[in-house]
Amino acid sequence: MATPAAAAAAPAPQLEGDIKLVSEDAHEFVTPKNVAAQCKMIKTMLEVSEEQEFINLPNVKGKELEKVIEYCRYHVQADKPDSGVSDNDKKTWDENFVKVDKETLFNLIMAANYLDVKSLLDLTCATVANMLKNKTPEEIRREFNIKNDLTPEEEEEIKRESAWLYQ
Amino acid sequence: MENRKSEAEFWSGPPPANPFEQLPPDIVVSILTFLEPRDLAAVSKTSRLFLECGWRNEVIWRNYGRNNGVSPPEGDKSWRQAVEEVLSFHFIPDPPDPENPRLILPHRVEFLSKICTTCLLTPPVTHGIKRVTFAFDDFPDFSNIAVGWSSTTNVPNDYLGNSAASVDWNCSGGLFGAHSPEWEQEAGCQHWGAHDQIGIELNMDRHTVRLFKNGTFVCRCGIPEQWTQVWFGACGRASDQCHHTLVCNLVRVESIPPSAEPELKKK
Repeated sequence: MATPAAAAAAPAPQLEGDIKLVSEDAHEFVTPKNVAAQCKMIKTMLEVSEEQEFINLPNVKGKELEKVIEYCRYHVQADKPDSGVSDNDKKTWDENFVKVDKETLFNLIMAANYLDVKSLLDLTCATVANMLKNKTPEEIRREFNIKNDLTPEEEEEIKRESAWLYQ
Repeated sequence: MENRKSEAEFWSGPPPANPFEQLPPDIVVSILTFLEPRDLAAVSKTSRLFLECGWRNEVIWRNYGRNNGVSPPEGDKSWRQAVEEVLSFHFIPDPPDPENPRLILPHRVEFLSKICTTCLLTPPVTHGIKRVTFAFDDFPDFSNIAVGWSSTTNVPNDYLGNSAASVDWNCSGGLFGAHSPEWEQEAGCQHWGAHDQIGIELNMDRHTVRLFKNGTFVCRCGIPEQWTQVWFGACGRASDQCHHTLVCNLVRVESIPPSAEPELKKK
């Protein structure tokens, strides 16, 4: 019987063939299994049952699922050691990939979180963070329709606690 | 797939909702983790969601602290306070002086004058152990450059070490200034140059100073017991040879936990 350490060291099974991914709004995407397996959540399901022909993804709409697959497909190729794609090229591709409207960006965050694609989650979270930088609280509220629900006491407290940043 | 709204739909629909409300709090935290404290403060002032996930969230401050050389807080102190303590260090700005021009930014000084001058950091250290690390950019005339510490802001016009109340560590390896007489200065103080990371660690509990070059301990000396607050500083001047500005960067400020550092031998 293999020890846990030996089991962990064993090579992962090769994922061959395609899998049909079905979105919440019934869009179907036939995707190579090795691309789909970039989503840890799907990878786990494939490892449990390699024979399944489709996977329902009730928390992701077709538009975002299509984008996630596009992201995974690119990185499966570009991240290969012999791909010839430089880190700079990948960075540029990622930057262009997240040039989407705000609604899509937030839905992509949700999709990356649900499907467990850490690099995409980091990319999309960092993109939203960049949209928050160098803005006043009022500008941020306007940009994202945020309602100010802080009490005057809370506002005063954070103003006092953050005063050192503006010395 | 295209999901953009038509113009008519755009204008007739309800106002767009706050998109952060659909995200679980741990994702909001992930987003805020990418922000510097100043942006975090601005975001946290917008609503309670951000206040709780951001400014008041120790996870955010711990991540920031760990990624920026801040030592873990001790006792009742929070990570936010530990970060504040470190980041609030900055060069003291001074009014423009045409006779002695220099550009003072929070963590960087550009010496523009050919007369040597000193720039101090604030706040002064009053307790505990603080280590600041400076680095100077490459400079054609790398001499007459020093870092140091002072018990007063009334420093000499040129070098910190030219007064009884301050000390400087010259790039040529000399330690200048009046020292606490009951401690002996250890040998081994070294010269340093462009891009070397020059660390000064001030222990206000033991009244000692340890010097570091690129993270390696090089020398130790004492400071007078009566010094209750001490300012770090850097001294320099623009090149005599050509129009070249000397640049000093404050690389890092760390709060150091008390260690089992041996006592210095008394003379």
